[in-house]
Amino acid sequence: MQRRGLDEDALAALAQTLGAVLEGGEVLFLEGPLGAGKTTFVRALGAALGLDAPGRVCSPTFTVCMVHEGRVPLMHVDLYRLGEAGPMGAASAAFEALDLEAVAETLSRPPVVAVEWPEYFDDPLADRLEVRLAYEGPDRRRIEARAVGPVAAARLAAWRARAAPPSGSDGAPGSGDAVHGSSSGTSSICQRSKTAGG
Amino acid sequence: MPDPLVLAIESSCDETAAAVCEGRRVRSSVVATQVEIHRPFGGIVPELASRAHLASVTTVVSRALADGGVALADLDALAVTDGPGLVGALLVGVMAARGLATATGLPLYGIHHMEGHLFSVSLADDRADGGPFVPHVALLVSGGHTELVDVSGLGAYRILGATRDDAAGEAFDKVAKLLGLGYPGGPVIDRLAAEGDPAAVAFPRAMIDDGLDFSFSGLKTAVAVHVDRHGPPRTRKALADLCASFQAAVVDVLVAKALRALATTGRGRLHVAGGVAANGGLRTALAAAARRHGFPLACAERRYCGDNAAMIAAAAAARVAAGVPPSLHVTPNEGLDSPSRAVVP
Repeated sequence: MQRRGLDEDALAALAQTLGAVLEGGEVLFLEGPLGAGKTTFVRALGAALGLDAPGRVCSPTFTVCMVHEGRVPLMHVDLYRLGEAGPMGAASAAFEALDLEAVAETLSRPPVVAVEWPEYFDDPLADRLEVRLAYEGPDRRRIEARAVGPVAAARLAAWRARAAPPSGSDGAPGSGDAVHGSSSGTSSICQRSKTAGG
Repeated sequence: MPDPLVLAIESSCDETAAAVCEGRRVRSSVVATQVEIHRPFGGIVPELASRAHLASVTTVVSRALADGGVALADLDALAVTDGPGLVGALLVGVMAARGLATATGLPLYGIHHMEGHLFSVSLADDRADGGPFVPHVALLVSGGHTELVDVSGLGAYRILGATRDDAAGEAFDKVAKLLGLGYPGGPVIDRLAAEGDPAAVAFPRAMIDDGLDFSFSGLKTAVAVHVDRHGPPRTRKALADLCASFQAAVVDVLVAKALRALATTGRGRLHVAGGVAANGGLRTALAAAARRHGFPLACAERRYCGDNAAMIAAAAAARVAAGVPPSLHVTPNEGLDSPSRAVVP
């Protein structure tokens, strides 16, 4: 899926539409340069998950991982600070030390896991919805989404069905969508194999 | 009753720290900073942080006791930061504190990191005395937090506003990175800003006329767009102007919101704490606003702006003195105003 020429309100509306189709256990990758709107996207998405305190969603850059309880809990992860951990091995060890599975288990049910700067999310097989944000001028953003794995593909289809028709280019149904991978369909961080990447 | 003597450990993020306070008087404060470890990476690395905390914690505790001339047998209580922060990092301090509590039989107080920052303003040592902990509005500004808190007493905190995206300190760090100035970003931008023209670039003051929440993400984006459009600054003057313009945008918003918080709560007193409270531009602007509007202003001493354990010890000492029973629950992401931490009079 691709949408162009989105202002902040349109981007937030699209994020809320996605939040409304998530059930918990999904992994979202948020990609894009500094200031592209990743945190803004997650904050809007959180509003649709029925979080207990949606206003508390903010940038986890400093704390790396923040959890939010709710109807569908949210685990908000930012690997920006792992991104410069040097060689991939060091970043991989740093990711392992975060022990996101243990953090997820402290929540009432499997969370939506939203990951900013996911380059160092050390599970190449994870079923995930990849959301890429890009600048189209100071007040406009482009968004592209693709699914890797069956759970993400189902959510992407539901999201596209509910989202307002594209106002910019890329109107053809299905264009820009991509479904890759053959992972097992286990998408919850709780079920993520300890051996992945290790 | 004499002021309680408390040993505290803080390991929630970049620093491993231990301190002894007698009430709010600092007997010793030891901080093993990890900045040098993390500098090459442009930020903290969680796995390195836990390992470094583990390597330092025994040493800083021993030194805090020795520097303070205190034996474990002299203490009235132990304290440790139990949230928010990285779970692995928090647990290093909590495990060490639990070990000491088991060995000594002393009560162990878990303290919220931001409550510690509230008490950092009140710390007293040989060089300064922050004064007693009285009702006030607090502006807490650091790398992970930007919030305004209505403080009506010990354990009676109401969050008036907070950042909706980036913390102020995070904006400094990320802009410093955009400009290739290294980590941490605050001190170097503050130094350069002092030689620059704050009106050189008109950066946005997000939500400055609107409520008590903050948003610094758009400012970071504006700096990125500016650098993208004009290229990286080529002269020291251009770099200083850019830093001064960015810092002025942050400071203007912080000052305006703090004034609005004083007006809406009717509290006559402003306290400022956290790593960004060390920023020279912010301190100067707040002092000018305090003179203009005639309210008392207390900023944490610069040596207590960054994370330290003295502020944790002082917060625990206040709870001991008030007869609050000890409790400890590790919460990586719980607000300062959580009911479980409230002190009921």
